[in-house]
Amino acid sequence: MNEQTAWRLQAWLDGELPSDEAAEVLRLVNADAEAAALVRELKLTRAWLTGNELRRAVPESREFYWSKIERELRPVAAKAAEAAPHPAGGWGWWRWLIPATLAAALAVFLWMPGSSPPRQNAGLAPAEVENPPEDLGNITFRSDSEQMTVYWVNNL
Amino acid sequence: MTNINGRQGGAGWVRLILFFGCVWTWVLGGSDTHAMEIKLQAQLIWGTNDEKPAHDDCKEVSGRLREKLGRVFKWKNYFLIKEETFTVKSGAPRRVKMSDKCTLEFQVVDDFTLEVQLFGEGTLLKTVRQPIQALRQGELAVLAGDAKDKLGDAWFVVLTMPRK
Repeated sequence: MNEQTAWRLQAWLDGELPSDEAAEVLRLVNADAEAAALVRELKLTRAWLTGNELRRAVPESREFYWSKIERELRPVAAKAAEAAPHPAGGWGWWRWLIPATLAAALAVFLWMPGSSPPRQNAGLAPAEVENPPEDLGNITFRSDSEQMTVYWVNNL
Repeated sequence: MTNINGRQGGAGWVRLILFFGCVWTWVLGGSDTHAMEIKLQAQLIWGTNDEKPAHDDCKEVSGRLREKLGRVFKWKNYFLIKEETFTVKSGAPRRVKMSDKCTLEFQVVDDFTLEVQLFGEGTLLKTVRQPIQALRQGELAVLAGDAKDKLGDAWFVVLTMPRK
């Protein structure tokens, strides 16, 4: 049996062949012992895989599990950003001018009367969390369906 | 003379306006500073895939809380280690010791905000600000972490506002 025939047998088992080709392959399986043996083996393999695949349960919900992965990745990304070389020369005083402009704009905004945020939604706003520098690895997430806000603390 | 009387009359109006201004400010300010008291419940819970831990007096968490924890986390068992119900008044921070390692401090910041500080063996680990209105509506605030003593287990401090 050549490789082409073996592929056709596999496609036939998976139900991927049109009806005329499927009938042709069925005739082949009935007539050819080698083809029939391969089909049996493929069926057996499929049964083993579907029936005995190891299910690994994660001890957290899906959203929490992925948030942990994200937390692990974040420091790597931050380190990579720090390691990235700054553009040489050219910047000069622009490097300082941009943050200084932003700080000035923020100061003007805060100074302007009536610029403080409205408080009418404060009662239902998402929980505000203050993080000391040492707990940057901690995570917070909320489950809307369960009405639950979770603050995961790593250092206790 | 008329001029002097007129000035005195104007000063009277100014005093009157200032007086009502002060009263109004006091009334408005009072809404933020009046004594507020909220009732809270803190539950220290142990999450594990093993059977009941060696704490003699712990009991299995059941009911709605168990269902909620089970849907967010996937530990098999949740055991209640300690439960405290207490009140917190504005202007009077309240400390609650949940275990030898874990102490919480609660403070009503204003009409809207409850501040919770988590101390681990005397060290401040986390400060959380939780909306009081959300707690009133049944929100659960959960401080949690991996158990250092036992790999794979976790601890939870569940804060709720008990129904009156």
